[in-house]
Amino acid sequence: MHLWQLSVRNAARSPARSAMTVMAVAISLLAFVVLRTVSAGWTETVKQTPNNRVLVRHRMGWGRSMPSHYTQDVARVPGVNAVIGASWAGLSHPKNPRLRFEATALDAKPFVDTHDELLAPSARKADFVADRSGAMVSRELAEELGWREGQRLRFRSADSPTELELTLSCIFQSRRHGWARRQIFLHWAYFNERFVGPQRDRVNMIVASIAKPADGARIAREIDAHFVAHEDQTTSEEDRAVMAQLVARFGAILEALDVISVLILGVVLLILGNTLALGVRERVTEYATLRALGFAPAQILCSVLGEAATFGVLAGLLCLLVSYPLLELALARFLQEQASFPAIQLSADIAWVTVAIAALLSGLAAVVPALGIMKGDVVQGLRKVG
Amino acid sequence: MRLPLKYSARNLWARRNTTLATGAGVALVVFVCAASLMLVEGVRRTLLSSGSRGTAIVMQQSATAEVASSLRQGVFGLVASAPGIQQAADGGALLSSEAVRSVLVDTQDGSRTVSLQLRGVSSNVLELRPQVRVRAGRRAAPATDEAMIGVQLAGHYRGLALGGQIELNKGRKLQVVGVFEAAGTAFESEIWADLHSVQTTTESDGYISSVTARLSSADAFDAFASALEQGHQEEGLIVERESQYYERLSQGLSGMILVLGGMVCGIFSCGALLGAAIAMYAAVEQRTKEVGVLRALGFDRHEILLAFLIESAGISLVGSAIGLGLALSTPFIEFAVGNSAAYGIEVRLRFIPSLVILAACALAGLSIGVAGGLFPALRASRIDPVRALRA
Repeated sequence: MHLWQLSVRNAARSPARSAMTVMAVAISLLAFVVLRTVSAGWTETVKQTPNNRVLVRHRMGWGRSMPSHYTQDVARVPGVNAVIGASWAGLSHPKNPRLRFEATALDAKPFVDTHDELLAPSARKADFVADRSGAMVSRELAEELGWREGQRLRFRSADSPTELELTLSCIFQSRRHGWARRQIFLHWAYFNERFVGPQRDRVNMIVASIAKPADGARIAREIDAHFVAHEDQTTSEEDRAVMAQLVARFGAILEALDVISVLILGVVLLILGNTLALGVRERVTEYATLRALGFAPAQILCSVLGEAATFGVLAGLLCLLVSYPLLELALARFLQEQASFPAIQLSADIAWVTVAIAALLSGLAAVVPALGIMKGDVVQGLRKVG
Repeated sequence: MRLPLKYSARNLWARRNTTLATGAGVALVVFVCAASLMLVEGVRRTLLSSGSRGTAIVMQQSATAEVASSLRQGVFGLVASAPGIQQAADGGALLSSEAVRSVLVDTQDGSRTVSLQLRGVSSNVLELRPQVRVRAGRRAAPATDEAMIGVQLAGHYRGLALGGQIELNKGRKLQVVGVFEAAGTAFESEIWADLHSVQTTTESDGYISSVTARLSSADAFDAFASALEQGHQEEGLIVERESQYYERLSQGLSGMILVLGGMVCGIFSCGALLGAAIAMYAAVEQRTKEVGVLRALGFDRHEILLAFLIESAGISLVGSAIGLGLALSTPFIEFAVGNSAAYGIEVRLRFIPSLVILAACALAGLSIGVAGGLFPALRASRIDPVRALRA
């Protein structure tokens, strides 16, 4: 019999206890995987944000507006490919003002041309660009409200008492997880017509699409420098940097998740170590016999390590088997819809890291009990009466 | 005949390493559970206590938070003439128009730049919000670029301390002359300055964010709201009870914490339960002979069952105590988070312990231990004394 066979047989010797150990460790690792996945969801939103856009806003904040002719100045900055002016449209249901929609009025042509994260048939996208009263609506919102392409939609807009009528020309999905999940996009020119006086010809944000991502910081600086002498000053930042700041708001929560993840691993270590110690204590006489037969302490150590690794790897695999359906089918949807979490997805990285951690932890857990046997006096072990 | 409690206690002590290792699982559940409930309590106390049912807040219809709302100054007059507003002692109406803006500041250690809420207030703001008291320095004088900061902010951000200053726009600075406390409400995470000064420094002359009015009674709300929402449709106003407004602001944040905490606790309590079961099954196996002796001495099944249940309850009590001890150290942790419902404006939260939370979590920990120990204890109680002694 090989030593590894002894390890596996020892692991299977008390099947109920081993099964419970594997399950306990698997469940604990599941909590770990869920936390890591949620935490990774936040960083993922930053990673998925394109790095070839610079966002320009009023220096006093996102809620303030700038003259729409700023777009032309931004377009002249070297390195800028395309420019999109955008305003927050603030649409609500005509009958129920408390039912509000996230709506952005923007320059349709450059928007559709540059935003390749918008997934929709190109004919539908062309319809949206061609129809100045057209609207693009996210699939999630359209499905929820039963809207169909071609349908006329009526809204109330915050800034004007008359209703706004739009044609739903395109239902889109987003390639970026969670981006524009419940958005309505409409033409800025059409939206702007509603205003007279100081509210006319204003935009809340200018999106500059840039040729080289590496130029982002320089372009942002040039834009702000250009408007410094103007009445409305700007703050320009790379899209990804803006997203990173959004995520940084939850920094405290993310840190808490990290701390709890580590604590979970600590407890996994204790549970595993405890089970191994129980098994080893029951087998003191056996190990002493092996030693008396001439097995080296290192070989005994290997056998305990092997037993531990069997637990660890089984638990890691079981955990993955459960976590994939749990996360994909239930938690991801629930978290995004009910608790405004970013989109989450179990990544292959986290999966492998979890199995590796399980193996590593089981090895660590075996150290204390194994050292006990190696140091143990063979004669005392053989003399021990159960 | 009763088995003495000492029997169970001594057993716990005899295998103290196992007790601790198993208790750690329970401790983690109790800690996460208590800490997240304490934080949610912090969110609720901070945000919910900020609003009162008898106070109404008027905003722009499309805005979901004050900071995103923009109203003509003239709306103040409309609100003042709406029915149901409480009269102040001096005969004036108890209402205030406020301009709420977000300002970017650096944290004291320079690691992050965050948005904080700047509120431009009228001179009667302290009558409208009697919970606000100046704690250090003095009140910001009207019609100056002076500001007061909430006590939660003091010392945590650059420039936000008594005597400090923050730059808003084109060299205009606000001088911090006072620190106020507001009974633990969200106002304590705000910067307050003169209304007109906030409007001019943020280049929004003639625009306010909201009008807050104290109503003569909580029932006066409906008439007040419909007078403004229906009576002045062209303004696009929305009226909410202040309590409802803050409830809405707190929901996302407390929901997020509850969901995260709940997930960890829910999943991990199963793990801890199995951990307790493993330890107790091992104990029963090791002591089969001993149980046989006890049975032969005349202790009956129920006594054995009880003794093992008490032992596993003991494990979870040790765990709960460690978990609660850890949780009670959280109030010393700094916790500031951006509230998505308020456009990411940072609010400083405290972990607020309460007897109910601590008791509920201890109970949860205890039930994990008892549930985990139940089947092993049943097995112990079914040990046949004759066979056990012969083995």
